[in-house]
Amino acid sequence: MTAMLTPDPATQLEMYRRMLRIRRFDETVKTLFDRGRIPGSVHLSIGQEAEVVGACMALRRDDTMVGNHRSHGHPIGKGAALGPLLAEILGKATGVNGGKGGSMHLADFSVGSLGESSIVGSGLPVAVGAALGAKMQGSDRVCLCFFGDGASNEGYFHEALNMASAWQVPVVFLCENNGYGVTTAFGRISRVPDVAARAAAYGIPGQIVDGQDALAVHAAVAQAVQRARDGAGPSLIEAKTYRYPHHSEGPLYDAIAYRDASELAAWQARDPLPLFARHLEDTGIADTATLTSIEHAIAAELATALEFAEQSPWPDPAEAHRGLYRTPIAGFDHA
Amino acid sequence: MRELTFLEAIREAQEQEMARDPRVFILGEDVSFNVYGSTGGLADRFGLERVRDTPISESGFTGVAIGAALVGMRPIVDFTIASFMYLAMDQLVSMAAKTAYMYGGQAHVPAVFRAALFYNGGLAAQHSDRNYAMFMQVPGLKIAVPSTPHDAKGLLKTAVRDDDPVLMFEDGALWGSRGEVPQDDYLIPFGQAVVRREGSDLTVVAIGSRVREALTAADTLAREGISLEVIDPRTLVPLDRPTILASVAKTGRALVVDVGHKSCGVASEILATIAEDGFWSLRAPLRRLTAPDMQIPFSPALEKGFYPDAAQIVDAARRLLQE
Amino acid sequence: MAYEVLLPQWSMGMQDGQITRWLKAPGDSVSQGEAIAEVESSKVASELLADREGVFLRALVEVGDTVPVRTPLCLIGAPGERVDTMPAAAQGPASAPVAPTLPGPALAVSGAAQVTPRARKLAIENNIDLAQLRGSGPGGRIVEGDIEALIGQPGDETYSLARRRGRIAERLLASLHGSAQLTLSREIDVTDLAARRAALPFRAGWGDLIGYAVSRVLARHPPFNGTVEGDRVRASAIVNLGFAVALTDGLVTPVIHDAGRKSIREQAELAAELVTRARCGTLRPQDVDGGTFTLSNLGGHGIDAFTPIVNPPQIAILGLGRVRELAQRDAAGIAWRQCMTVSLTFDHRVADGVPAAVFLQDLAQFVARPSNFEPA
Repeated sequence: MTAMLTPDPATQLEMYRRMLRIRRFDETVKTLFDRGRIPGSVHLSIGQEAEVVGACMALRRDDTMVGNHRSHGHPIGKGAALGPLLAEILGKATGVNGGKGGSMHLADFSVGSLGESSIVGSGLPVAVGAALGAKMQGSDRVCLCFFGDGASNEGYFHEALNMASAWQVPVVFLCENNGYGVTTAFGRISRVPDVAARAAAYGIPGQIVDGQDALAVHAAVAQAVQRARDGAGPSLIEAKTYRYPHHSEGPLYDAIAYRDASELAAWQARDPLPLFARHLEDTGIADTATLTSIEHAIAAELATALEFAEQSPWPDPAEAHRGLYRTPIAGFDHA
Repeated sequence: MRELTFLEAIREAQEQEMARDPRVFILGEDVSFNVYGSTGGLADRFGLERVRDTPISESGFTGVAIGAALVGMRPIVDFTIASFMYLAMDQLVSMAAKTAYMYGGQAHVPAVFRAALFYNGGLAAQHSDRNYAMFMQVPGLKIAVPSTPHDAKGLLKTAVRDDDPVLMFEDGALWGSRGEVPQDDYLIPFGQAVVRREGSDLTVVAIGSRVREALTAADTLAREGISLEVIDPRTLVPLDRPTILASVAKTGRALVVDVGHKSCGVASEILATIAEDGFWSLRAPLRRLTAPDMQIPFSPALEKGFYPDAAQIVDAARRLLQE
Repeated sequence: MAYEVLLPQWSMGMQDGQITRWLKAPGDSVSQGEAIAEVESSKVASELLADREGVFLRALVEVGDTVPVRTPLCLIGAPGERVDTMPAAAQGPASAPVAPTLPGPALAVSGAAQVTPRARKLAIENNIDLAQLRGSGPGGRIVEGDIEALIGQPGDETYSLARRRGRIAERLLASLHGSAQLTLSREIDVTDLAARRAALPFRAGWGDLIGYAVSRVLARHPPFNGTVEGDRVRASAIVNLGFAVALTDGLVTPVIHDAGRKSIREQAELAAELVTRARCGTLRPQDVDGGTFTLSNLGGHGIDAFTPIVNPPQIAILGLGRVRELAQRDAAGIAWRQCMTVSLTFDHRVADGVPAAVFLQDLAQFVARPSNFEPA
């Protein structure tokens, strides 16, 4: 990483805080899920915190972002408040989506999200559209698109990259390659092991970064964002990362031997949080006391968020029949 | 008043809306060269950024339109032929239709999606879809099916200004039809059917180009003393159920005429509504005339008779009056 | 494709018509508006006109057949067109029904006749019992018009017969259907009885006096005093004399049991008491049970004679008309006599006219002798 692109210490501390938030948030969610408190399914981001935060913090507050079903880290990475996110996962009225979306759609539009869609790959062209819209409006807002290695094989990927490059729109495609599409290792269903290699087909820059290194990701994304803002079009960044939990929580995947214990152990040895903590200590940005106090502060934040979520009311059942349209038509739907 | 063709009316609606609001833009295949006739002169006037040719990527450019709409633009997507919409199904259903609700009102998708219905022209099975009924089943969309040039212009303008995703299906059989179209700016609200002809013996609800078939049949039947009331719903979602029910309360008989396939088509929904809420008005069984549940064949000798026309309506009406 | 020419409904009330003459034969060309047949409906002759041009293919009904309006009468099509299949047949594109246009007996699974939803709603709103109705629609289907016909004009009063008239309507119909009734009338001279009546120390009406006479004479004339049920005739030994009492909302027939052994006074007093109870609605079952003969008196209402209906399971009933003054020839010339016409309706299955006439003669003779009417 170039010195030019290294964030200042305050920013780096914030990066650490956000990574830790994601970690503690998802641990909390897992506990709640295991106790049967969460309806539906949850897809955790544990192990991927560095690439999420590194990317998000390379964006301006007014830049936009599109995500996917593994959504929790994205809004946290972009600075969203934790309470409404947790409330949403529990299905409470105070959730970001009013209880109507849940874990797979954890999108806080107030921090620039344009949605977290759980149909794999479906966000890719939407991000292109958002970038196109910004360009047509004469603004320099950039759209960052989070998608996984699985999504890179959807037709959406090809169509989105093709249009983005044909029209030179300010979008940054960030592939969170955690090695698996559910239980299928990427290498089994793609002859070319790197998603970034596909960028060449569209005449756009493709770059591989170490997804466990927040600063590396940050640098790559910042560079791509600047390219986009300068009018030089889209980029594809592939963050090699790993998810420590399974695709989603529950006993199902424990019984399926789709990955090696040694592989998991190797990736756990490169846990982005201790890695970054060590970096902060090594560079003198933070000492043990600071890190401990950050730990406590985050724990307190989570406790507050959890209490907020627990105390929040359930949505009014009548609300289920409202909000189908932005402009309801009198007599035809339930406004 | 001057007359325009159906296509010219659509073109004029697009031009007026693009002139009025810089956020409106068109994207689709071959739109800048006006291959299909609805974008003539628009690229020259508004430029290639706003009359944007897309690659053949229906699912992709539908998503692009949705993304642009999410940041405040008002795109009009031109699918050209309705048969090509299936590629875009996921974006239309999973994204456009569900966004307003799923995110608890944080966002909405003010996009318009236009598609022409080509059929009865030897285009064979894959290019002859009349598929609006499939989208009636998806909550969150609005669907317009104009039957005249006047309505095409007014409905499209309303669609562009609507903050929700709207699908407009343009019956290809009507493209060349002419009608009076005011030059000025006017809107036709969604959910308001029109009684095209008043009558007392039988309510005929006709979709798109079937409206004029029903009116032709009505003339024939009038000579036999059978009086048809012809209703044009204009939008399928929202559907003007009260007008349809009021008509059936008067006539006691209902016939729906639609070029779509029979099973689970538009007629199914309309007749179910009448059976549910208009049962006690009925003098005779409910009936529908539709295309059969069959692929559309290529040869004219085979395709002939597939779509309900005035003669079939006359025949069905006579039988109904006898029952 | 051939099209059917239907019998039009030329006027609102027109239900059917018949072809009286075909003006076209198969193969003849037809122009639009040309007459193709002569049709008669309700004594009015009209012409059937072709809707469009073509070739007359085939007649579907025969001369003289009466068919309902909108029945297909003939087929018109293109030259050389074959009509061995039904028109609009199963190339099956549209969903037009291929079923015959006139369905068979319109019976729902339960066996009841069909009713259109519209008709059913109207019937419920107007308290009309559909079970009593015969519909005018195809296959006997009850349609709106059937209900409207019952509801009638504004200003008409409509109500349910069963509700208003109770069982009486039913019983009268059953009586007439269940027996072979005929009525014999005879004038009886009551001049002397009238004088005797005036001298009685108690009130006795004409019904009481004739009833008394019947109670003394009837036993001599079996089987008029008794009942018949199915095949079983019971000629009764005692006379239980019923008499009709008109109430505001119907009719009751209280009975004087064993009238043959009751004096005029007893019968008169008993009758008065029964009438009072009838008017108060306090008659007991035993008051109306067991009658073997009935008397019905409309003399007080100016009726000369009438044909009363037997009160089943009884065999006979005697109707009394009014007493009127008639000039009659006698030995001295013309005298004014008071006369009453009595009418005996009886079940002819059980007895013939001559015995009935003999009974009436006997009655007349009894009545003519005032000494028969001793009080006490």
